[in-house]
Amino acid sequence: MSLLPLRRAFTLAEVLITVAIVAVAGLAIISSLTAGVYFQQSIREENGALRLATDVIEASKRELFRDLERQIINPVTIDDRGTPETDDDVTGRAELRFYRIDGTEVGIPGGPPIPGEGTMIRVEATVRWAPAGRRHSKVQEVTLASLLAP
Amino acid sequence: MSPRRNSWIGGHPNQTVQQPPSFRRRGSVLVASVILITIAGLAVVSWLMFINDGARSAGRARSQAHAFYAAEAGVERVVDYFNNPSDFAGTPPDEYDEYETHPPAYLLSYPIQPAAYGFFEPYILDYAKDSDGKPINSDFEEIWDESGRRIISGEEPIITRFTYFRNSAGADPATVSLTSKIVSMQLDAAADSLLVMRDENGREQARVVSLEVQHPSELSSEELALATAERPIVCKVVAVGEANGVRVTVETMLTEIQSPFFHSPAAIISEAAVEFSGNFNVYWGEVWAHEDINLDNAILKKLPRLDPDNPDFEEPKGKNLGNDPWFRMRTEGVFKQGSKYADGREYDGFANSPISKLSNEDVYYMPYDADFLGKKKGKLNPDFVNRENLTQNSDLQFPHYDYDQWKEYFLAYDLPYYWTDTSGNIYGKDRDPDSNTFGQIVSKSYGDWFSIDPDDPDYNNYTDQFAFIDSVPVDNNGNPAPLVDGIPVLNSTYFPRNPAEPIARIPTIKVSGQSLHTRGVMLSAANMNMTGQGNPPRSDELLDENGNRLVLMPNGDEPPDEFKVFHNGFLYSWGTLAGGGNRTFYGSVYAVGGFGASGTPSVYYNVKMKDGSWLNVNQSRVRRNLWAVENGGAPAAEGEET
Repeated sequence: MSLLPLRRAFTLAEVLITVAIVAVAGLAIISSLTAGVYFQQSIREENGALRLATDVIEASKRELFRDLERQIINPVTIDDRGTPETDDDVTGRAELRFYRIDGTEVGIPGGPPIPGEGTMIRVEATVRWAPAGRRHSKVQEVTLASLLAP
Repeated sequence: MSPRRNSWIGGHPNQTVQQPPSFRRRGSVLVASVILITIAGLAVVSWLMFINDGARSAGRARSQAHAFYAAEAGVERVVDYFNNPSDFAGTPPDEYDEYETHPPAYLLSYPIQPAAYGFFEPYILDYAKDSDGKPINSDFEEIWDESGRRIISGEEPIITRFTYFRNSAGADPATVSLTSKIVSMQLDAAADSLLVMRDENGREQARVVSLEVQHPSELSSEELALATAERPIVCKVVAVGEANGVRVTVETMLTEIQSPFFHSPAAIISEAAVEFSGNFNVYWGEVWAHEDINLDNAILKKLPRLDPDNPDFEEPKGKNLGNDPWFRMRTEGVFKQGSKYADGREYDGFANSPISKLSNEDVYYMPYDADFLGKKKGKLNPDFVNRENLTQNSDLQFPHYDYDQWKEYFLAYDLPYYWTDTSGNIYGKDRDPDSNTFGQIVSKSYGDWFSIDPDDPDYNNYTDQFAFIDSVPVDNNGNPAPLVDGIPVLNSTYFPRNPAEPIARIPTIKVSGQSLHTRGVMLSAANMNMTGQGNPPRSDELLDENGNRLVLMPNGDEPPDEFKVFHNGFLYSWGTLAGGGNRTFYGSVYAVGGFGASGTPSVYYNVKMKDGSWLNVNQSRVRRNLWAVENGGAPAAEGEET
């Protein structure tokens, strides 16, 4: 005969409720964590793309005395994921384009040249990339635009 | 029934119910789970908030970038206004027809040409008038822009576009008049409003919400202290860009870069020697040489040496240069003839030159004893009537054309710029071979470049009248640096071409046998050797855009005899100018390395080159300097929420 007092077990209902709560809460937390990870990654990517677009547009402003023309840099590293390896980098494509004020693109090989002194130019830097880990996400884009007075 | 159970559950009615320890923790797993989940949830929420902050920060960074480049665009717009005032023709805008605009009230005292820059010339916007010409309402209080923000107050020199006029009560714009206020001219006459940057779908990314141009008189002493003699301050630009409520202010000083002064005081200028042979002719202007001028009989005999009533008078051979009141030869050296002084004495160097170079006075060379005078030798002094045509000067004021300065100017303003190598090959600015010879480049005159045809649409195009021909870097032996895709490859043994280096290192461009007829300014870092002229147009065929004759004598008269014009303009070489043939220039030729001629070349001086008025290249331009960025926006305008 056992000297231990008789213990009452959890009822099935208690267990089920607990499991349900834990499951729901856990799922919420996990999905939040997952979403947060992706969100944080997208922030890193956007910041990287913004930095690249800024670099590209500033480089064009420094090159005023040289021949300007449309530039496409592909690939460019949007986010190195904090690792020295490159195979996990998030890469994209940077474009530098020039337009007349009327919207005509200039500086295209074989197309109209970029006008010289006397004409303002709209310079546009666009960085596009496919977000990491989200196969079906649409391509992201950052565009910066300004005017130049050659 | 278990007594034990009864003892715990049932028991005595007065007995306190006591549960075993495990029963007292009934539900504790659930509670613990909930607590843990709560803690985990809070952690996740905190983390998500942290991420959200990061997202907001990223969004703000993006907006700041958009706002910054909008503000930058505003600054560039001002730069464009200064550098290309013709883009802003028509200011004040047409919709100000109801206001009288008065001419500028004052001219500027600082070195910006008022004609070129009307920017700070205040216009008085008078009362709006009714049909009888009477002021409609003199109680104007403020000007508002389309967003309701007050943009003009008093005489603040805020530059913006006046899109709305209304008084503080919101009266109809048509009933609002503007009291006489002095405001700066509007900047943005070419666009619909202050700049708005949109994406490809037309969605607004950012806009310029404020653009101020501050006259130097409004700047603080600290700011004014930033000016330098080389770069005087033109103005301060304060541009505010805004994107998604984020404002960025860009403050920039615009300073002036003056174009190199273009002028040529003589028909032929040489900073070395001048060799005359054959029938070289100079009309309507002077010949300047830093070193000796070597004359030959032919040109001297074009100068009558005696009065016509002198029994020994002899008709000049060839054209009578003595009848040309503008012709004169000046040298800081001596006049020579071959190996002798032109007066016949043996040339033994500077110490025995006929006239000391130390004199500050102009002295006239009188070749009364020269061998070439033949039987007139020794008889001409003091009757040499045209003695002032041969003048020795101690200090001629040669205009200085700085190679680096002009090169920078051409590159900075995208004027036609070429390279040449020691073989005379020409490369375009894009470093690609453009043509094989200079002649082929210049022969573009049949197109739109260097065109002399007033009907050419680019006839008045400023950039179509210039060419700068640079030369490739060379080593100490004069060998050019190797080219890769037209770009010279420099290393320690090569140095960039500097025309001050020995002329032997300068390549030579040959132009010959082509029917060239060009105009404009050609600056060459290469020697130029030109022969032949072909069949260029006659001087009376050269017309300006209004059909007026271009080739005129210094007194404005038409020339008595027409001639064919090989080049109408200014030809400058940091090397030598040489050649033969019968090419004729109208304008001026300038050779740092010396000038030589054979055959029958001629130069007719264009007196407008004396002060540079021949071609208006002396247009100052502005450049951005000393800028600062302030994130967070400009001070809020009065009545605006902060």
